[in-house]
Amino acid sequence: MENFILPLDRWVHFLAGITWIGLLYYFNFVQVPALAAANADKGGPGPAAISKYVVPRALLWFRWAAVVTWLSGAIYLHGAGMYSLHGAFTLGMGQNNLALTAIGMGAWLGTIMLFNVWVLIWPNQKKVLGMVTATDEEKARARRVAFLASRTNTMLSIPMLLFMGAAGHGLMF
Amino acid sequence: MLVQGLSRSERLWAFLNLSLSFNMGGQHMNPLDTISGTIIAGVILAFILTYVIKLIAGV
Repeated sequence: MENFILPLDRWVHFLAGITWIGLLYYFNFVQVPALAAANADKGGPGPAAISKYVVPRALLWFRWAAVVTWLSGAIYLHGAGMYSLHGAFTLGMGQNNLALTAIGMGAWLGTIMLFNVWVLIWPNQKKVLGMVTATDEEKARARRVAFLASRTNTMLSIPMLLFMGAAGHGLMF
Repeated sequence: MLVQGLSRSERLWAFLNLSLSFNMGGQHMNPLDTISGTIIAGVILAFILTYVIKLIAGV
């Protein structure tokens, strides 16, 4: 397993992770400001096409990439000899192992982010996009909750990526 | 330049305040309302958690 399955699993983890976090950054750095600009541009084409054709596809890849990233990460922690799932999620306490503590912190941040995707962002985005019925007031609240959860994930991704990298390559400070 | 003559920590503090001040005219004071506030908050969190994991790992 160590020779083939685990490296393959790690590869999948990287690919899915880049898809997940790449789309997260797309939402926060590109789409949210673009929709605001489209709404403000009274003579322009408006945001309808983005909301109809882009957002549902982006959210589909986003939420399932999050699941694949977490599962492949959990499999790796379970299977790789230098880590363990239990050791990582208990932050390597008492083991005097910086790599295990660092990957554990990254795993916890990633787990919180997965929770935000499926419990806060996706159910509220379904209301915003009209996939479930909601009043205008409920939609406005759903938009705010989804936005803040997405921004929280962007913030958490910064230390998460630091610790994921630090487990294998060391900390920079 | 406004930052001339300031120490590194004073510049960091000024940058943080500038980030937060973007929200002063709006309804919210949440740094997550701006992209710069989100990134600064993430970097600060990264520094804090680095010291936390060093403490836990005993290194």
